[in-house]
Amino acid sequence: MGLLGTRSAASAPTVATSSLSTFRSRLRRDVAAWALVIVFLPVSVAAALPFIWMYLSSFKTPTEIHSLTITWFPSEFYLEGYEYALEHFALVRGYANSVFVSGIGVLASVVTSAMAGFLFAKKQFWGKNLLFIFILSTLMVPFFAIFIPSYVVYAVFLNIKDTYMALILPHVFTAFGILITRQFLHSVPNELIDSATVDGAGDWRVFWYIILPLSRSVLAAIAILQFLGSFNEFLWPLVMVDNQNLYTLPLVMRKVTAAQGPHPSRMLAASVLGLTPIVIFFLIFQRHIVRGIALTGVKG
Amino acid sequence: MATVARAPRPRWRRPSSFVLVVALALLIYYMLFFTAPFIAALVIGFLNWDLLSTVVPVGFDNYVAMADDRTFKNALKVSAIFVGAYVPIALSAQLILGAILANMRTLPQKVYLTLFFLPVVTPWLIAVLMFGYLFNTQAGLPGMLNDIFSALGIDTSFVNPLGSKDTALLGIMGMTGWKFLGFGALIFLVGINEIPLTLYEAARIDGAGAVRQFRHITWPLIRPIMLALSITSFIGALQIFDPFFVMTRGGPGDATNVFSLYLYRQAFDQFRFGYASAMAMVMFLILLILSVSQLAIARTRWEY
Repeated sequence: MGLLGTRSAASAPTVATSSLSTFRSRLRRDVAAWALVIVFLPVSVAAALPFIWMYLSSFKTPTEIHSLTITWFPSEFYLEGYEYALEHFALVRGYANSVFVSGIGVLASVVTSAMAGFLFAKKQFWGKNLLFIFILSTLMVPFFAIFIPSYVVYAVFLNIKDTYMALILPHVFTAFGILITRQFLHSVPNELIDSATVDGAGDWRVFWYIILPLSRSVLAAIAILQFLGSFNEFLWPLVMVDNQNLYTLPLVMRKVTAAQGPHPSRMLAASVLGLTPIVIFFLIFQRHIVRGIALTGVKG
Repeated sequence: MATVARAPRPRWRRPSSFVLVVALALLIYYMLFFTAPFIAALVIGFLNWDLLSTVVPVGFDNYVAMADDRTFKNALKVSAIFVGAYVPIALSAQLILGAILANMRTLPQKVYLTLFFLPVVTPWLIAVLMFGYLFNTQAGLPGMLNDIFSALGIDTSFVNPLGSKDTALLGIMGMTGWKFLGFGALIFLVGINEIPLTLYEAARIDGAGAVRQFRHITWPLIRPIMLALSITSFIGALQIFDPFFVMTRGGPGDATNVFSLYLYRQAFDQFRFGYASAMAMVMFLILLILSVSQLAIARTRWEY
């Protein structure tokens, strides 16, 4: 892939120089590279501090948390916070709702992105450029500009407030997924599609048997970015959902914040429970996330 | 524009069912969920409407009211300070981090990137909980710093930044910077990695050090990415809502009552949908002007 290969790793000397000087300069570069890593260590520890502090403190007893002398490591493995959090905050329900809503949305958006990408990259029809520019222009519209009327559309005209549908529908199409898939499919040779067409396959079959499998890697990147985006969404569910059974994880976490009291360990335990699956998800799919952002960030 | 020999225009054929279905679905979806709400926002901005009682057209009254609304003007000011300070500082930090990561070996680069990316995938609502505790005067970072300094014989009294009018905005700015540092750094890292290595080798042969290499190779080639990131950062930063809504609730006083929060409250606490829509249009205009002017500046400065 080499997308994230380092500068230095690839810079093998091209001209044959005396082996000693090559060794010296390489050594110097090695030392410089590792010195950078070490100098940089405190900065990254600072970035991780909020996480470390939360994970450690979630096991502290209330007296330990409130004591005047700050301790880093909990003196005992105090689990009351976790028991309380699991019992009193609808974390599991929130997770299930979030995963369901985001999952369906992602599935839909991946298929629609591939369809629209195929349409714009390989098909000719009247008004194609106009439609594409129209969809691109929606990327420029800030969410707040359409926030209130969107609420009216969902709550009054479609009358789907307090349904899963209201949370899924905004994610069924994604302009940004369409853009990336289109760009990717541009690089696919037409012959590949033409040969199938000659064999008598219609557009639907070409889409299903050629386009979809072909764009797998791009679609994976889109899927994960979309998933994280809709999983973390807060403002839209906040106005769309009143029924607590439909609360997504961020809404549940809001209730946790509101329940702040003399027991920070409960709150912290809830955060740990909320965050840990996301961290694991991220670590598993990290490569795709990085690739997805690379695709969208630089080329978009 | 030279007329290059083009393939002959294909004769008009009936579009396939695939083309018809997908194109129509796209058109309907984006009309219904983008165009219609946008036009509606424009229209609602000229109305007095609470969703329940009858609609009263009021002309430009909502826009005039904004000019007299002290809370609105304060919100505009707070947002301007927040966005104006946050975006340049954050972009610089992201660029520096990206450049540093680009010079690391694959393994440490990966490890650091993972670390700095964790805040990006952390939901705001959990970040808010973490920081709420970390900012705690007694049990959190301020207390820790006080302990460290008193051990060194210096008396300090760091307190929760969100508790004071003067530092609350700064506190949220710090959180926002922390949350998006890894995102921008990754984009810069990818951009730097796409610069051909031969350029750096040539510079090295000519005797250019790291700083001059950055100044004369990396920076000019990274500017388009900087522009794109800058535009999206302005758009994103002005719309940040979650930490203000959950953490400071606009306070203390109105010190963190930003544009987005005030708009939300006008609509969903006061049910002044007309007024809030007019505010949304103002926000749209501000962002449009910001984006277009950045593009214009970029064009005049960078194209020869």
